[in-house]
Amino acid sequence: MLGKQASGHQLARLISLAGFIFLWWAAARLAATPQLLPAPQVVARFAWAQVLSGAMPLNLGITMLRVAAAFLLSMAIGLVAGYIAGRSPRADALMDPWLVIALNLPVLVVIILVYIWVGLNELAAVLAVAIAKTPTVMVTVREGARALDPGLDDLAQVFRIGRLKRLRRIVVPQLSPYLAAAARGGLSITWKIVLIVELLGRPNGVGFVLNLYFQDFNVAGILAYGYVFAVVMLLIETVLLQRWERRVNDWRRP
Amino acid sequence: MTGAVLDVRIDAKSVREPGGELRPILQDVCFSAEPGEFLALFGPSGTGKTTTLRVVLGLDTDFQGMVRRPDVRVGVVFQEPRLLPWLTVADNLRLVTNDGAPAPDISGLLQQVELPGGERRRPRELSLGMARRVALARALAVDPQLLVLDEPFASLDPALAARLAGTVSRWARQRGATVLLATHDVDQTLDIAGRVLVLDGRPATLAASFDVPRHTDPGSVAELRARLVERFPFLARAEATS
Repeated sequence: MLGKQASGHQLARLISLAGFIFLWWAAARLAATPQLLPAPQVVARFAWAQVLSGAMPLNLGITMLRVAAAFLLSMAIGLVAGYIAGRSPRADALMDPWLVIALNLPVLVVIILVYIWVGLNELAAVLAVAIAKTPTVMVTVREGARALDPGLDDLAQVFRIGRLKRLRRIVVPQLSPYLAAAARGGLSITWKIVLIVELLGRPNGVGFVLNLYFQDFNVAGILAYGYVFAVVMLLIETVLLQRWERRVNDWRRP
Repeated sequence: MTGAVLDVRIDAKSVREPGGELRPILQDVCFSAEPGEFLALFGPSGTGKTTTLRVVLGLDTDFQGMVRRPDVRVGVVFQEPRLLPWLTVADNLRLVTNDGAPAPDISGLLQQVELPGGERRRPRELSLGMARRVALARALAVDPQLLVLDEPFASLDPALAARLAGTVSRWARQRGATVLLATHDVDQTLDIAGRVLVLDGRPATLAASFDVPRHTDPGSVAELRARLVERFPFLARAEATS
């Protein structure tokens, strides 16, 4: 019964996707000029040519390295700061005003300021993305740290469970669902910010290429890079992060 | 007091009400325990038994008075089992033992609490009564010199509760461990305890403290029980509802 329902959902997804491609194709036929909205097959041919020339894998790879560096940095800082804020009301009171400012600062302002202060280099690119992303990771982890079971703290204290063991066996499993949520949300935002950073101040990467095609009015190129990159990031999210999230939440299932 | 495993003096203990005002809940609660002694702590519901145990365990330090406890291994069974749901039963037992300490005999401990073969089960697969038994096995896993038990046999059927109470008593005698047990069950407890403490009143004070006669004399235990129930009627009510 459940299997039938699942395959029904898959079929609905495929029909929906086919409908999207058909509408795109129809809109391309109606467009005033083919340059304004190239048909799906034109975009696919362009993407394939970019793959064969090696330009697309190179730029995708560079962008993904930046995404990975910024993602890991923001997760590490957000995890530590969020945990401290969630466990200590005094630390929370100290950090909260900074957090509110950081959360409400437009990403573009952060990127421009970091480029001005640090220079148009790789460090600035990664730093700008990490600064823009860290506050949201911190907020999620802070909620997780606030929700830690005080009864288990008592247990650890009475049985004198060592600090490292306590962190590994008691704290991290409780925080894992929050970490997974922060990672999933974090990745989907990080790669979008990285594109802006590259567009504004890097000589390579998907964001840089998109800027070039924008100046050349090459819509096929913009769509090709945009779709391929989105598909790669969605695959990473679905294959890696969603599986990890399911695994860490496994003990919660009845 | 020299040689005592536990020396407790709570002059005053208050809790903050939701409105912000302080409400005294314990006053002049003083007792000590010698090595190998089995203390039972009685009191009506909400009288401060759990708070007293939390003070003894060092989990509540916001009180006037002092607790002296030499550096001994402590085992505890809280009112709720507090098992880690992401660990198996065996891993829950291993969690509390120090890395340098000898590995606990998991299957032997589970046999003692009448859960043989439960090592690989997850807490979500256990009933509340089974989870309480795992919590008891976990407390014994550290080979404690001081065992603190907060209503450990609640929600168990009376026959099983009596058997487990006997197991704990025998275990404590063999090891020379000190036990502090908070409970409502007079009959079961008088069979195993060496001394009885009764908390009563508002704020609760130590209303009575006396030794239980040797267990070889059922007549004198029955007489003690009758005197206790007569003086503290809540004990009879607690028994009726348990």
